[in-house]
Amino acid sequence: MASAGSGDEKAAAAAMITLISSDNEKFEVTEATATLSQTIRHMIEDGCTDGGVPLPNVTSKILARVIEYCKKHATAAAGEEGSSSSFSDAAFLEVDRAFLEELEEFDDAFLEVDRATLFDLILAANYLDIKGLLNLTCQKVADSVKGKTPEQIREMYNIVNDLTPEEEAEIRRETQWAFE
Amino acid sequence: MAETTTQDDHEQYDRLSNLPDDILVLILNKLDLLQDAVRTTVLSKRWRHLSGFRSEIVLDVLNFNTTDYDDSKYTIDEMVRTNASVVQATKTILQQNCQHIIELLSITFYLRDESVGIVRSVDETMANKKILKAEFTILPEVLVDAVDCTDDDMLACGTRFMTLFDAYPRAFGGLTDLSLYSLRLGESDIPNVLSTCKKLVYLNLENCDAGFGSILQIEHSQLVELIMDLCAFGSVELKWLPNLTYLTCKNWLPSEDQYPLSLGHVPQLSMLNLSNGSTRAQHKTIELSELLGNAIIGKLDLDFQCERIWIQPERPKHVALQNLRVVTLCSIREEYGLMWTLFILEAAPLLNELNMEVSYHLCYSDEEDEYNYNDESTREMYQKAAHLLKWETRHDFKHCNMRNLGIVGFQIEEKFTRYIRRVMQAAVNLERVSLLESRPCLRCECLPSTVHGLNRREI
Repeated sequence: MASAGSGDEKAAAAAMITLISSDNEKFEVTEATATLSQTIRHMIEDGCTDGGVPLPNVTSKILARVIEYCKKHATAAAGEEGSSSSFSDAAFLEVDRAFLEELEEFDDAFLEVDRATLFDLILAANYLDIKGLLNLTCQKVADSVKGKTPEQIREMYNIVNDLTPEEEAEIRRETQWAFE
Repeated sequence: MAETTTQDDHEQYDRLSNLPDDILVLILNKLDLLQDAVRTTVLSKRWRHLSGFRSEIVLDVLNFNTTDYDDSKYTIDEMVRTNASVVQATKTILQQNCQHIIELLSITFYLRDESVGIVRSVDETMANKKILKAEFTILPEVLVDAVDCTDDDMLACGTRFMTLFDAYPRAFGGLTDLSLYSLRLGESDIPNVLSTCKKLVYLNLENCDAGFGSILQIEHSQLVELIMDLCAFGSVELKWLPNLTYLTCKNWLPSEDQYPLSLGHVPQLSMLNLSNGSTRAQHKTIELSELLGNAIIGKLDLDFQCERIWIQPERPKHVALQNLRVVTLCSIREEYGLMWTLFILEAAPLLNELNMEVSYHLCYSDEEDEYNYNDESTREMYQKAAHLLKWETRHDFKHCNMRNLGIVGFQIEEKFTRYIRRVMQAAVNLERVSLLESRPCLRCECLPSTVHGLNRREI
């Protein structure tokens, strides 16, 4: 059993949700953490989370990472609501900035994964409908192809070029400006 | 699923291309540079049409440069080549786009004859697609700063712009954002353009006019933000702008008897930003209550560009400043005192935050300016001007809403301590005083800024 939810479980027991990975591992998380996933949020709203939420598309390895992300960002979201900062207030801006910097550092460290895990995270974020995580992981892929030639991208991601030479020449002609 | 395959298979397996369409489109949408997204069309059959699903299209001629724009090697040839690329790119991108709704179409191009191709492509797109936000930024062809632009250049640019405009008014009619530079237009041109550009919410005019000292009258139902910089209008009359919220007017024409703006029906106006450098008395001193008329603003930014203070302190008599919450005063010359700013507290009972930046402008001395900062007569002139800017606040004056006072360019000297003590005495609910040293001067670019942060000292 993974120790996903430690701390004052008793106080928050009513708001705990059990998530079950494809390899049948159970994860206890707070509702605030779980509802970063729109998919789970809807399930909670429909009252079908008793006995746990089975997630047949997500392995325990990936689910643990996803929960790690959601926990961090759920705290962040709660913090944002707490400080009713007015836009122009310099002090609050500083607090927010420090907080955002910390969150950014977390995100950067979170993305330090091998490519296979990155794709698994993308698919999990898509399936669970976690916008922030999907944007974060897709940005990582986008950044990896920035400024690269098609040949470099093909090699990086094992993409097989099934265009005929004529087709490729035609596309290149149409989009010559993109290759200058 | 891929997770069940062995590590070895992972290495060979093209997981990227096997992601669902919408995720690949999301990834493509995250490539800021359109060229990066378009290059993926030759990866394989799978990728060929994906970039056509992008919902944001941003084309900027400056991104097509191989040479830096500021580089002296930047030539007319380069400009012609990059602009031709934007024409071609606009055409293919818009033809291949298969979205019914484009969230953002933003094109930055040079005002050249071939740019009509861009406007034509946009015009065709507007006929059969919905574009939520459409922006044109039309750069002048001349490779000089706006201030060096000759009258002939401006006239030629004005004529060329109107040719583009008249060729495809529908394209302009669908625009939400428009930025124009260095155009001298005919008297009725700007009103005509504005009545055609019905959807415009943002208009930025730099070095544009309808003749030196001309009067511009504006009526527009949608416009939310208007920025004018270096425009040689005698006066701009904002007659009827029911949605105008942000107004910026910079570097207006000197006039001894006329304000640069005349505010008519602007019920939504909440933020006014005025920035001007006035060396002598050639600019009329502004009485805010008179300038604002019936407009009630919440935020006011004034930048004096290290020159004369062109604001007249005045007794509260109008409602114009009654709603003011945040005031920022930038680039106040060191010769000036600060006590005069108390008039703002008196006139604005709801004021929450007052920020100011005192400028010492040390690197002015080697500028090829008409006067030298260290010149005795210049100093004397400002000292005299500063003397005229006297303001006496009632000794028992109290302000209940002011919470923050920020001073950039603070020094430990009597001028500041006396002023701060005076504010603290009046503003009974003051919570924070933030004092910062001068910002580094970036070669006399007086940076107007409202963000304060580091080195805060609590009192």
